[in-house]
Amino acid sequence: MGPYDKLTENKLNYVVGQMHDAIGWMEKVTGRRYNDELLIEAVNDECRSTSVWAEVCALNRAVPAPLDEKTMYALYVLGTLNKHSKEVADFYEELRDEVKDRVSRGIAAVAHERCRVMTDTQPPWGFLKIFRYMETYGCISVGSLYTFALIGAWEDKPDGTWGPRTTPKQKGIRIETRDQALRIAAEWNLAKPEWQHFYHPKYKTDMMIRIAKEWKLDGVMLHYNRGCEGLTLGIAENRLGIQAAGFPVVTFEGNMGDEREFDEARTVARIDTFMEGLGLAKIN
Amino acid sequence: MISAGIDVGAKNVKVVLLRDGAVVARGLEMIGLNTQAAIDGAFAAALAQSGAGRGEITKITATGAGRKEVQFAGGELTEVGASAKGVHHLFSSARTAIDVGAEEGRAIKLDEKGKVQDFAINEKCAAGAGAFTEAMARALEVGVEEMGELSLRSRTAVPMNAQCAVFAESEVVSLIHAKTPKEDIARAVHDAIADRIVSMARRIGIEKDVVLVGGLARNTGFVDSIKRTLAIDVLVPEYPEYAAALGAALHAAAQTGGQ
Repeated sequence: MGPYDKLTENKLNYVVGQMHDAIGWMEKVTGRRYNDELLIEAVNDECRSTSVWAEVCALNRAVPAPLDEKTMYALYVLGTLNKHSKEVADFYEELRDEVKDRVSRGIAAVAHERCRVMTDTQPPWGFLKIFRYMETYGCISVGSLYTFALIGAWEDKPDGTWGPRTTPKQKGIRIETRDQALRIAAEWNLAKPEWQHFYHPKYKTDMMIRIAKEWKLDGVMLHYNRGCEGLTLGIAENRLGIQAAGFPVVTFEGNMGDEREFDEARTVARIDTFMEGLGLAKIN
Repeated sequence: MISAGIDVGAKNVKVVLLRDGAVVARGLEMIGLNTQAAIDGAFAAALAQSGAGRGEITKITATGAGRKEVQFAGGELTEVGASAKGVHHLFSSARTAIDVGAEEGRAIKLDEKGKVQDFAINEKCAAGAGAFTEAMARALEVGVEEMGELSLRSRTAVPMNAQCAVFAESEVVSLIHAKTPKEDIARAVHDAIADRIVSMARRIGIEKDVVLVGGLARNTGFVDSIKRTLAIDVLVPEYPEYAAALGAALHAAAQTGGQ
């Protein structure tokens, strides 16, 4: 399909055509009629939940950050699994309001925030305590392209910043037909930032540098994740690009699913070295 | 005013005592089963060499993988930070430091002030560190201290294909059975380590001057392999294994407000 900036009407028609075919096939196999009303509802809710999640992530630009990435992992999973549901979209709106309140009251996710970083790809799930270890230095991971954009729908805002994508409903578009719903769903998903870097590492590098600048980061921690080759592909090249943009980068090897491929002691030693390089000592 | 740097590595404890910016004593002890005893022993050896009493040591900084074991240290520094400090003190022209110890190899990129710009550390594999040379010396039935001189006598490069220390040992055994001269095998071992270390160092970008420190820098055969692999000269200090301890001592001295 290619990256979103090269999306053409023909390519979009191809994806929409595939979805039409799939519906026809499902009707034939199950013997049930496809419910277009539910489809339209699901597309509207998916656009709403993914845009609101991006809004939540955008609020993390605040200093101090209202959310830390370890907490975001618990929240993003709802959108990963059920982004089309009304419940998740409603929950994200409630979350957004709460995070807004935290920002307005200066409530920080991490006590003594004095260093902001982002990570990349899925973390080593069995060792999320490394995020708590970073906090001993006053270091917070404010998120990552992964947590922001695996679910979040983003767009360029008039002031040049990255922000939540305007939903069809917010644009005053009323979805009335199956084809219209499928077309919006296809275009919405093909635009997702997390998919772009499968086509070339430069897309990911550009987005990561953008996050590093807009979220006011002091450094970047890249996980060479042997458990997800797709998201890790090109990460060494991302590292060079981010460094060239002036941000210190540390890498650590691991595996999101196989704990045998993660060396906790060595990773902690790397964190210590990285923090030392950033001029940070542990907070007593 | 004397400050001390203690480097608790994977195999040895190294101690450097510094008075007014000059090294006055060094101490080294191998870590056996009792790390604490090795720390105390190396520290006592350095004190004895300096002639100073324990009370004269005003500040102590610990570094190395076992730095937490130095309970009497007032501060600590990571291995990368300590190596960088030590190397910059020894060679202010250094922009790349390569530190190869018993268990770990590190490459550090420095700026003109000695600040760490970037670093790379070998992953969970001993194939790029001193422990590998020791294992291969055992397979060759020679002392590890003989490996350097032995490999310098080699006239034939023998490729070693295994990427893992365990498989490399099997390969060495095969070479022995094939009646390959020991000196060629020794060189192959050093070339294999140098390949891995240089490949890791290239990730951070190699910039001159390159300084080689750590215990393996004592091995002349390995130094030769590194020079050939990099195709540039490398600087090796007189006491390369003490570079990190020196860095720690400098850090301690800075805490006292002077060197």
